[in-house]
Amino acid sequence: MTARAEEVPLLRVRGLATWFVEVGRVTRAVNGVDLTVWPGQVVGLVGESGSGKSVTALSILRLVPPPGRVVAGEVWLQGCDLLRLPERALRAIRGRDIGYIAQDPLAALNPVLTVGAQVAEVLRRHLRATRRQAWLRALELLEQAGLAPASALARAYPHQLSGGQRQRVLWALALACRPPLLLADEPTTALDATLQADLLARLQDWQRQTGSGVLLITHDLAVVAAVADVVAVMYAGQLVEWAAVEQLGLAPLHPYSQQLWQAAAHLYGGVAQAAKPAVTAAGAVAADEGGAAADGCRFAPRCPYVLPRCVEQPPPWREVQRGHWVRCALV
Amino acid sequence: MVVYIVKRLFGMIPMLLAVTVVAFLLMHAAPGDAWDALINPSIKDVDQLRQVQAAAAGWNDPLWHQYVRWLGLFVQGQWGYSFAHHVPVWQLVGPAWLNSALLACCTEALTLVIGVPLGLWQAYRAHSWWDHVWGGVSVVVYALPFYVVALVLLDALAFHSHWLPAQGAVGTGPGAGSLGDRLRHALLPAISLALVNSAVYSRYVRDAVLAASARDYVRTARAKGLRERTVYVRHVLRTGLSPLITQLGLDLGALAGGLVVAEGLFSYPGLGLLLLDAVHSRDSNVILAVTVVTSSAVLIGNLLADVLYAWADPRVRTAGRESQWPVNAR
Amino acid sequence: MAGQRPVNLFAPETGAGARGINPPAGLSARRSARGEEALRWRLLHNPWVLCGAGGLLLVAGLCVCAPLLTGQSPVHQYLENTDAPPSPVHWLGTDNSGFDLWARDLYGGRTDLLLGLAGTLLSTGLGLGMGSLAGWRGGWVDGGVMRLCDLVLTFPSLLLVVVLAGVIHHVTVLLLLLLLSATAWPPAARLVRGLLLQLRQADFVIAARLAGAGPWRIWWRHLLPHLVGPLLVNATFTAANLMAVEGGLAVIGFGVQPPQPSWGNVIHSALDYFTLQTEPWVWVPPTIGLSWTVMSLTCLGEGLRQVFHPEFTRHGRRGRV
Repeated sequence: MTARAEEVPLLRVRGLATWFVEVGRVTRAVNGVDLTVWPGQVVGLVGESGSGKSVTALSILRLVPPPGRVVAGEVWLQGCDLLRLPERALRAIRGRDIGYIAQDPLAALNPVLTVGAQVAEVLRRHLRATRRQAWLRALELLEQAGLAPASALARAYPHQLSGGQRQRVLWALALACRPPLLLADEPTTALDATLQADLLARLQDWQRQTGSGVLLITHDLAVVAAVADVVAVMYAGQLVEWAAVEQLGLAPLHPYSQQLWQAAAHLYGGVAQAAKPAVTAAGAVAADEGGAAADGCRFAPRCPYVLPRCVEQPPPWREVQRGHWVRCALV
Repeated sequence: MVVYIVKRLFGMIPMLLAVTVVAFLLMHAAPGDAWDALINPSIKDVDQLRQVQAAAAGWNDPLWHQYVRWLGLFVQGQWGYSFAHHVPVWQLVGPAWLNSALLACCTEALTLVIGVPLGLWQAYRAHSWWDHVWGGVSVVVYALPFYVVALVLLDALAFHSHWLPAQGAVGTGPGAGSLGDRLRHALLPAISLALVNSAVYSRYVRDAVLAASARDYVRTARAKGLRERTVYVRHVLRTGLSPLITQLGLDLGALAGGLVVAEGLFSYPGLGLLLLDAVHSRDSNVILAVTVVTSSAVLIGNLLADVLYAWADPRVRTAGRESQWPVNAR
Repeated sequence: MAGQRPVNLFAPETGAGARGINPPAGLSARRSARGEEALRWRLLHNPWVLCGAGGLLLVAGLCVCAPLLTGQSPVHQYLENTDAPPSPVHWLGTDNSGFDLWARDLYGGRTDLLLGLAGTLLSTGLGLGMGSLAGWRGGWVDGGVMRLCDLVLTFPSLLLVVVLAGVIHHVTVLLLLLLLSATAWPPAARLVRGLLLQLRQADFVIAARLAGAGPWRIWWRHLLPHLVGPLLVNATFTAANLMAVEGGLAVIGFGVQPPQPSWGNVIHSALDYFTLQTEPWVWVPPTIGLSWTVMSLTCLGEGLRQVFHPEFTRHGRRGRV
């Protein structure tokens, strides 16, 4: 990956595997993911629903809901392996060193607490602020996230706010302690285009000011193109391609990335609804439930260029150009 | 809020009217009446006497006429006389209701004290060995018919050890009729009821807390790095226990309306026992009054449940705009 | 793509990654053969279901085989031999009226089981009809049915039964059955109505409508399969409730009337200080029979609730006794 010998990476994920183990079946939601996020870098993690993007983020925080479990891997942040840290120490890191923006802003906010209180709560926990200090700071943060007038809206309950406003609350919450790492899980999916642009601009501002690293999970390639430095394409629990956004934007090498880009091109080229089914009709995500199929390439059933060896052995994870990694036997 | 409560109180009126109609029809559909229970059929000219009496009391009027007359008097507070006891009905219903209310409070308090901590603990240790054992025990206790529990306790606490009085609401001797004395008498039925009901509550609390702890906002709270205790108290319990508050209101209403079987078994002179008594003696005025009082208690319990729920959940309280979560109108 | 449109609980196609918004397994599973197999597997491997069904079968077997297990008649009064202790002739003795207790326990179980089963069928059927009407037609029909539900729930059901039992001199089993069913249907109706309100907005119902299916066909082919699971769970709890309530009524003397035997009225006949203290064979067996049956039904209901998803079932609550 991008070599910056003099610097230390902010987040290094190695061989992360998270499985959902139920009676009679195992779903490997994340199966051997390697990621690096450098300070000041935005990594866009793209892939379709069910490819394991969200579970990756939750695994980093060690908040995978049961029956999910992180079964292997290392997550290095600031010199500690989060997966082997005692729960107590990890709690001090969550919220302070890692900000997390959840997917569904209505479900992610407590319905019986005012949004101001929910923002103040994280400040009181990590910054040892008094009740009053925390409240005032929460107002500032909400204002910065674009919630105006913050002093009135801070006393509102989540259900009284609009979708965009709720999302802003989540942003304020995640950024409250100026975490060096932000995990944003589809932070703009539910919003309309203008709100999306506004929030992304705020994200870039904030990130430039603080030099934080961001892991941005999305399925919207336009968002990735707008803000990300590096793109990681995920398919069925594995990364299939990793490259700088310019490189990948010009020439995606993995057949799956090519399909994604093609679909996006159709979408933004104005043929939107008509083209979409045509491209994705090739099949649904092959949920990996173990068994014989696990041997070969996960994408083989949907791949237009599939060869016999694709089914027989797993494709290698290779650096084909400087900083451009692909998991495909054909490249 | 006040407007809401007043509105709801007015909304109860049609329901209560419907209850009285049904009760009134029931009383009159049945063959025989208080007269038959009171008068010795072997006395001379019994039929003629009856006719005279019936004409005087208006029993020959059309049914709806009788109903309207009864209703008019009832809302004025004239609940009539008890045929069996020869006293105004309210003199029977008032003390009986007080006894029932006392029993209801005792039962509810005991239920909460036993049920809620058990449920919380079960949720805290969810899916553990203990959880399964207690889950099993609570199903067994829940399935035990109430009178079985009552019989066992009656045997153990009253007949064998004489710790608690077996029946009645007031004792004899010095201190009879004091609050302490009344509480002592209410204790045995209350314990039996609370044992059975707390099995329901503990299960309810366990499920509610577990459901709440799987919500996204609890994950957000954990992602904030909050301590487990804060996560539980502020995020899980606040939302998880608000349905319990609803249940509390409903149950208080149902209990305060009198409990036929419990009061019958323990000869506890509440509304339930009064009703049993009245049914035996065909005391129609008492039956009607008890039915109305009991139904009102249930309705007020429903209202209480809604008010408490609104108090606990801002989504209902501030439902000015379109609410995302349909509020069940129970 | 979750989040872009309002999530519909029952839409057949939802994002696989969106945990918790997939249609509940028990409901959607009926569509495919594989799902049905999985459902059967889960039913047969659920300890609650197995215990409950086993317990129920045991009681039912005993009661059905009553003539094989006793030579005595449950309704014959052995007047020359009242209040007798257990003996080779009367295995559990006789009560004050000279009834053979073992026979009454066995045949009484028949009455209780019959009452529970028939009452459940009746009230569930009534609830299904009322709920379907309310949920499908909506409007004033819905309002009317729901008010009727409220009325039945507000009118203290036990009072109703007690009052009626008091004013009607002889309560037959059939009358009791009708009375109990008439008070037990509202939970089922509310359940069905709630489900239908959600289901009728579902894509597959709209699709069926567009395809020209009539309301009956939609109800039978598309809606009913989704109601079966929740209704089944509700029905087991209803059966447990009905039997417990009948027992409670009988214990205070208002249930099935002698000479017709029932567990409740056997217990009622033992309700005096002397009998309770010294003659446990009178009241312990019917108590165990009743508790055992109610417990089995509760276990079965609990198991079914776990197998068919929990969201749609109120925890079955017993009427206050």
